[in-house]
Amino acid sequence: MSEMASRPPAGSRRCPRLGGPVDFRYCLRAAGQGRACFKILDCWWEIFDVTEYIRRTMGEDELAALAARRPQPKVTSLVEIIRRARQRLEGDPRPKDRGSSGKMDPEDPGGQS
Amino acid sequence: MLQKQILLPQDQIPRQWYNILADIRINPPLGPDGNPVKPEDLAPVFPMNLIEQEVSTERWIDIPEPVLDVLAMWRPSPLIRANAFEKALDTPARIYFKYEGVSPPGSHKPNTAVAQAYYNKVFGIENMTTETGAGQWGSALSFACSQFGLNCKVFMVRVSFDQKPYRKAMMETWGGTCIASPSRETKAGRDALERDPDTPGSLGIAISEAIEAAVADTSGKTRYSLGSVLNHVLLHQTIIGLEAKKQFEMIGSYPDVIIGCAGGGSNFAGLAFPFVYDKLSGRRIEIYPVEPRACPTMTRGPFVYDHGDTSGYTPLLPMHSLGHLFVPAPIHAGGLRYHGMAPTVSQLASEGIIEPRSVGQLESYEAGVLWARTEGIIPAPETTNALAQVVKEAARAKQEGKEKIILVNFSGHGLLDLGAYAKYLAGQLSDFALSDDEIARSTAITEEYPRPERLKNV
Repeated sequence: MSEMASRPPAGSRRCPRLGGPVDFRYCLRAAGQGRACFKILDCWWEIFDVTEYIRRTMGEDELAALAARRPQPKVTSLVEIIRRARQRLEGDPRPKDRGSSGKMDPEDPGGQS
Repeated sequence: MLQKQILLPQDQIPRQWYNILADIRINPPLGPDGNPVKPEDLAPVFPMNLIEQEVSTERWIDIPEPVLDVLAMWRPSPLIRANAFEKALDTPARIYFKYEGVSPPGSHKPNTAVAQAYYNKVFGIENMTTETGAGQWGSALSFACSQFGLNCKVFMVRVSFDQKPYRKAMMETWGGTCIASPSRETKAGRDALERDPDTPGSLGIAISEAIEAAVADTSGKTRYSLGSVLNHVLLHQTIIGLEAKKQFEMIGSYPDVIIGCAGGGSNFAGLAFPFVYDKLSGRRIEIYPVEPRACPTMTRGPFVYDHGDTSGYTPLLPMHSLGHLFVPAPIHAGGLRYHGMAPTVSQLASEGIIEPRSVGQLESYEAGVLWARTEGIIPAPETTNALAQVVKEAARAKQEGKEKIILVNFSGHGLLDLGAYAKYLAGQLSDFALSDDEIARSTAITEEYPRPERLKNV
């Protein structure tokens, strides 16, 4: 991989979840609350050395956590999102952000293009 | 002149959908308590008539007349012989494609959008909500709602909303309301904007907004709609394969190979499941769901129970997994962990009834461009995955000297998604692949978990 660029490119690529072009900055925070999309490594590895970039800029732990993130199956995530929506509407505080621990946020399931 | 199109007369359109849950058993998703998720858990967002379809095991389910009346705008869709593509490939194979790009929004998605809008209407629902990325599903649902007098609200991820104003225009032309997400209409949206006023949004926020909008309507007149993965969605899509079978009967033929691209699984299942029914009854036929090589979950990952996260927050679910602690090396960080596949498709793959294939993005676009230059239609990017597998099967037929009949689902045209072609034509794409040793190391973690029952349906 030594021939691969170590910095993010300026251009965009097609996001398989959205179905349209996005730049790398979008992917870095697409999971909300400043967190990267669970597919960021999947999508950018062909274009530049994204693994090394994440390791360098965010650290080994964040890289490991990011690599472990995956969406829940649709039915399971729907049930969880319904529960959270009701909590919000009832005025309960939202569940604590799970941050960069590697836990997948149920509100970041696979969506539809 | 060669008979290019096989057109099924409208009075012969299938009157029932095929429900594969009558013929196979699947492992249920397990909740945090270890018990299966219950259908009533979904009642706040789906009408009960659709939930009943979601869990039904009736083999044949009547298509309501009002649904057929709308589908008749473009259905039966044509079955077309790709003779120019065959000639370019110099293959003895005969290649047919089921063209779903003839629908008003240009893809297979309204096959379920129309049915869902109808069932919501008869349940007494007046408003529907959904989320959309680049706008394909939002367009399909807006179109469908317009046919049944329903209000449709689509939360479109901000980054796409700004990039694709014509998608918003499509939705609004059909009477839908397209809102950039995050919005100020929901607490989920307001929270997101409060955290980051300049956020480009995400699908996670958009789905939260769409579901909150449905749950927040205490009148009970609003429901949410989903265009992929779920059983009832795949059910509605089976009209594709049922039509194709009738069209092959018209020419006294039957396919040897079925091919469809598999993202969430709905367009693949729509074509393939009626042929799976024949295969379960003893017919010899090869059926290939095709996924990008960048995310080979079905082709390379074993079928196991696994968590969706590192610390067991999410429930154990049956899935094709590469191990939830997998940390990719730089060269193969690509696309290994997408688990959005429909459970029925995963089950059939685990039994070998269907045989997943993966293709590289370069060969996909190469096939897509060749298709456009021979058959004329520019395929949607995901459709090119299926076409790349067609190229492989055509080459195999030539090598074996067999006049195989190949049927592929052409899930949609790509006229609203030309950016990817621009990148391909500019030479900005490349391919890599994983070794078997690397896959084996990554999946070792799941050995400590229970194994899904290896259900056999044949």
